Amino acid sequence: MTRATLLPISRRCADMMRPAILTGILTLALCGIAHAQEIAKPTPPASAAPKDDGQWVMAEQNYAATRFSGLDQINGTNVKGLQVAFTFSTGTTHGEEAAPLVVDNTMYIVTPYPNNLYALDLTKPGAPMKWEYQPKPLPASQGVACCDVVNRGAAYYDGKIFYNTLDGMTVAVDAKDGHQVWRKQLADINKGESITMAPLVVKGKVLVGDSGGEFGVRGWVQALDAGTGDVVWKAYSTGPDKDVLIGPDFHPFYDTEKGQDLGVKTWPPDAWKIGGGTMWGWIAYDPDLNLIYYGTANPGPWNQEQRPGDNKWTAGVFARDPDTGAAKWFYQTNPHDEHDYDGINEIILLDMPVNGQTRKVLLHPDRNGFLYVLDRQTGEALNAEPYSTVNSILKVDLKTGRPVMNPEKETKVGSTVRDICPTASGGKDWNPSAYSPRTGLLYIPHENICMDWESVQTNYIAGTPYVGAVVKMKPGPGGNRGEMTAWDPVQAKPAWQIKEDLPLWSGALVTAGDLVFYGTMDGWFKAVDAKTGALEWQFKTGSGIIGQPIAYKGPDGKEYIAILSGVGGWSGAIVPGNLDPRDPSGALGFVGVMPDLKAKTTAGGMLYVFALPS
Amino acid sequence: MYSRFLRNSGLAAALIVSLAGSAWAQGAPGSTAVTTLFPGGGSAPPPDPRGAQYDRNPQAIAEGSRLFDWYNCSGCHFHGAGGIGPALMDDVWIYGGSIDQIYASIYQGRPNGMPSWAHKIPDDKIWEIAAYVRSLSTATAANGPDQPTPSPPSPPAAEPQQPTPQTTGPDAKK
Repeated sequence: MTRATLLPISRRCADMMRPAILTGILTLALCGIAHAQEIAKPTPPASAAPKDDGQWVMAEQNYAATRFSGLDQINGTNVKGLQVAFTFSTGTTHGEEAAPLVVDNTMYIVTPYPNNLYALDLTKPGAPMKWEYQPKPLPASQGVACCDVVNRGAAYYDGKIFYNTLDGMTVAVDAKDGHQVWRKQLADINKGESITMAPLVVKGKVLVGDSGGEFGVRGWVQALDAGTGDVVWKAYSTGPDKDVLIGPDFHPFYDTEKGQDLGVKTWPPDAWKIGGGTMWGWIAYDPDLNLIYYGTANPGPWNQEQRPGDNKWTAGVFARDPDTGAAKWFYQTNPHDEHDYDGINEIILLDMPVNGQTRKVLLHPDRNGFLYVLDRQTGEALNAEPYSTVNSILKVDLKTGRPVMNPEKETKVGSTVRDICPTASGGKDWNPSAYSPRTGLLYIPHENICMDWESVQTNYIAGTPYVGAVVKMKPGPGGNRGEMTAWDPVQAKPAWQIKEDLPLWSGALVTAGDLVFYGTMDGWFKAVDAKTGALEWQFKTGSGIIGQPIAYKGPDGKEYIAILSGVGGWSGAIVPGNLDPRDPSGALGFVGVMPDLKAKTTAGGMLYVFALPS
Repeated sequence: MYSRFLRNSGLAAALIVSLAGSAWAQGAPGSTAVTTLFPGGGSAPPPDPRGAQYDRNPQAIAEGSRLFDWYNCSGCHFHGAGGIGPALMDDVWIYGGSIDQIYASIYQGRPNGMPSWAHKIPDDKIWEIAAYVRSLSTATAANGPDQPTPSPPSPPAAEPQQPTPQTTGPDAKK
């Protein structure tokens, strides 16, 4: 059995007081209001989160990235009867991070390398395979994937399935018969580039970003014409303004983001060319404002002494015009990052009461352990509170927008800095949260891991790692390595929290049945009460779960829940890679905190789909 | 620190370029086998004689340890645990664990992500890295040589290569 502990419902408001007196007063004031009267729950903009039609056409469910299913057949009164409807082996033994898609009674699943795409016919018993598409990526691409050879899923648009291959292609596949419509080579593995993210299709453009922040690549996002694959625009994360698509429309909120060619000037000469800022995570889209939002990854190398400066535009959030790519604003969550705190985590769009006014905001649980509430029109930070154990940052100064770093946890060459929290993989990593407009809570699957870090000089050799740090991870306070936190974004505090033995590396799903679904790295797939966190149901799958659960309405009108099981990813690399736990620095330090995982699960990808009995 | 970094990396790049086409021109692995399956009988070819002077040689292992970081081997294999590349401190060898087999893997690369270093690392330094990698394995430590049984001696395909003395190279970083 897994070790999971439910904390008593909600911490007291006073417990959440930050050291800063002003913030504490504000928190208390908000809590007082909350107790006195019900505050309107934040809601995603209708244009970004239309009414659920029972399909699942993009990994994030909708452009607001809520991962909320409007289906409620499965709920607290009957979930205990949930049982397996059908399964499907993916034929791979690496980490299954993808979200299945469901379109027109067909399910589509993308495997980790070799990135095969399967279409399953949901109208027939057992959901038999309709077709398989094999893109045959270069086997050598496995050597430039930092953190297992994962893929985070596909997107459907206009009769086609779009997804990326590890060796850097975007492919468009006919959803009906599986024939390849086009393929476009975007990344170069000999420069260390790969692609693992799930694309998002906005206004007929397929948005794709690269991976390779541990290989000295130069990060970018590209927009491809969905019909042809032609590149419409390409925006780098470093370099001169013209490459970053910074022009007259760029109006960042904070002064530190203003100036010419900061993507060059905030780096040592030429270091921006190999400075990272990749984009392997999530994109959100607000149709009303006509803006896309995404975070950029860590600067490289990890050894911060090799790149003095703010290292723009890495480790922060961009707002861009999806038609042209033109940057609108940027907010740097981690200027001159020195802990590998990528900014690529999910961005959820909500309209939310802030100080008595409804504001158009985005929620971003960053790797650095803080939950940011940004005004998505301007890039102003409205709130930033830790959702996880943090000691590397003392607080976020909302006036400057910058984190106030703890000097004791700054990394350097020649000494090992111990017990830095959160660890390099963050308060949370890529695995996305879910938001329910019914409960007003954001369900954050995350980690409770700290680390020891020693920076070392590193050489740039194209196509090989460019890191410069020896990291050894360890469990955070309390010893539990994972947590599921239900976060109240209005009060900026948790409503409830579940402690998990292993780090949570699966995404979350929340449904109108007020159930939250997530998986654990030893294979339990769980449903908990969205209001209280009480465990309602669980099922042991064949391997650890690091995937993204979805809900859909089958052709029979029933609600189904689907999840890919199959351990791996950065946190689980020790299992599919058969890594040796005697060297805790393995897998960029993750081996040190997962020495027991091989004894708890084995590799192997399998789709599980659950339903209530007929 | 920043200036030191640039100087070092620039120097390393220059050395890599200047050494290309000289030290390893004849360094290609000979008949080193990466299989133990020989249909119809037969056995592995004799070990590459060049490996003997490096195998279990403490000086070669020490130098190989330093080079292992210098050429970013540790970026994928870390200090034996593995990560992007496989573990090296366990008792599993995908492409063989004798020193000439390890040399061949580094020199040629391997299909699932191991780069070919033939034109990036001088030949003698590949041997030193191979000596270090071999020393990491528990199989080597516990069971001694795990070279496949050699076939009867036969003339090697090429004369043993004497490592070219390197007065520059990564040592220059000190």
